[in-house]
Amino acid sequence: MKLQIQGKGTIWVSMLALLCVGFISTASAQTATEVDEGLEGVLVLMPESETSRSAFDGLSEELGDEFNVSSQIVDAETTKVEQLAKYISDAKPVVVVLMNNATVSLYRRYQSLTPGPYPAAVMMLTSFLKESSKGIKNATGIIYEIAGITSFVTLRQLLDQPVANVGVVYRPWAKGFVAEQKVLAATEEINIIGTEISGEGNVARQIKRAAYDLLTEEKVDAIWILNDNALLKKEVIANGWLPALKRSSAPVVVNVSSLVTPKIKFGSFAVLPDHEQLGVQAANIIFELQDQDWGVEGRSLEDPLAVEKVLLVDYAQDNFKLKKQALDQVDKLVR
Amino acid sequence: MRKLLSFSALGILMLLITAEVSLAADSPSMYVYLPTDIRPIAFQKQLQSHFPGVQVTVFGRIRDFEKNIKKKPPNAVLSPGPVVELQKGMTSAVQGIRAGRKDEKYVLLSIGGEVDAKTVGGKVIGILDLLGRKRMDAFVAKILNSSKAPKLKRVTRIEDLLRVLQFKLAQAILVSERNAKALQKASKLDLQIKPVTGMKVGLPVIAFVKGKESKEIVKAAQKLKGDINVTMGVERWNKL
Repeated sequence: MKLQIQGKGTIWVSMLALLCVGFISTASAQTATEVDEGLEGVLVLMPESETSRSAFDGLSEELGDEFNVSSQIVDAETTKVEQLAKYISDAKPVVVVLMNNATVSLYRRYQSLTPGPYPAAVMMLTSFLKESSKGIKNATGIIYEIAGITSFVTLRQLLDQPVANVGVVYRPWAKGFVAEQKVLAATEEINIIGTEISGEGNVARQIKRAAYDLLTEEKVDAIWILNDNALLKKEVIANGWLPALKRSSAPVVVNVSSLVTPKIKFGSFAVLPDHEQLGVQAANIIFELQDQDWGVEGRSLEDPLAVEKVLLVDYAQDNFKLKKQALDQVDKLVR
Repeated sequence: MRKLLSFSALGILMLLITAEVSLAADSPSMYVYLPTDIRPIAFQKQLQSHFPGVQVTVFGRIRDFEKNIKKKPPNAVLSPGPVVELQKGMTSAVQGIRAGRKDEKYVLLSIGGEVDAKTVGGKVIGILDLLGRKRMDAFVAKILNSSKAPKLKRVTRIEDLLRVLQFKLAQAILVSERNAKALQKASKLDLQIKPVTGMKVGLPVIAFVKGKESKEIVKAAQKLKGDINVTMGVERWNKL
């Protein structure tokens, strides 16, 4: 917030706010690292990012005064496995929380070089966790991707129009993922119609044709865009997605906030992980592990339970039949 | 001259800010913790319009609600009965009523077949984390009227409960009958309701911090009707 008076007397209230935020952050970091010898330790290995900080806040608040929670920053470029080993041997945690793909990879190397037993590990903020966590021992976690069923049921809650058939374009690597999502979505009577493209050569042209066919021949009620970098390149969006979606008013569901923008007619609804709540969910897994004597046997990876909803509001009001109070259920309205 | 004008403008602005701060300090405040199916910020906006002259703050989690009560006590709180009972030094003043009752039934909601309260001991059930982790086991035991406690999968929002069932993270969820019906409506899963026989759970109450009672809040609460009451799961408000 900046208040400006007659161009000269500028009051930088933002400075004060920043000072306050700094004070609060410092205070919370200190609280998190205060050591109570009688408590078991939770070591959070995380990158320096806003999302991991939100998740850490949710986690450490929920664990409250029942654990000694400490954190160490892991940098994908510079942190070596020896450093990671030192973090763990110093903290002697009962649980390590691993945030992001680079940290999970480094922890895998740590396990390959260090004899066990290993503390329980809770992995989060890691893309395609099922694949990226293969081989890691005594670990569980929360999948980062929002399940299709979550996105579609959430969309259905907002709309007074059918969300029964949802089209998705995918590359061969995502075949298994789409098949899993299809089974889950079917339990809510939502049919995912997938079109596989090779993803080689002219990707934009493949997407344009596939998306156009889904909309005109399959007459899907919505399009779901996967978080696949190759399908979200600028050139692919401009020459593939946008021409295919031009004449359609079907909701386009994305899982990246920046794709919901009035600047282009692309994503109209996004369902995203709520990072602070992911931290709370991870904390609850830690409490459950405590009840299981720190073993992960019988556990599978969890899907995110709490999500944030983003809606391109003017577009939605013009093109969708929104339910009464629908906008009150949305976290972020983009105009 | 321009400098003088700048200083005058700054002075007026400071006066206005001071006046606003002082006005805000004088007006009664009400903290709200009441899980609903709308976002806390939207709920706050709606409530604020029904409580003019009252500073309404809605919290999404009990932890934040209780932390703020300690840090800066409000005049009043609005919360479900069991939450209000936990707050020390408060007196209930206005009670939310639905179907002539000040409490509501809870049920077990599950997929495919009914789940009986007698069979959930030792198994996982999902529940809205109304009171915070440490208090939930005893709360659930009273509702289920069962000596063998289930393990709890706690969530912070009503909508998250449906995901607990969709992802098969629990055998059933324990939820108010009203919310169970709303979830049945939102989902195409074969959701079955089984009433439980234990404690009924108090509907929302407005309570005052001792010595900070406000007639304005009582009057505004008694006037509440329509959608805002539906959101809060009540039909009317009775002065106690």
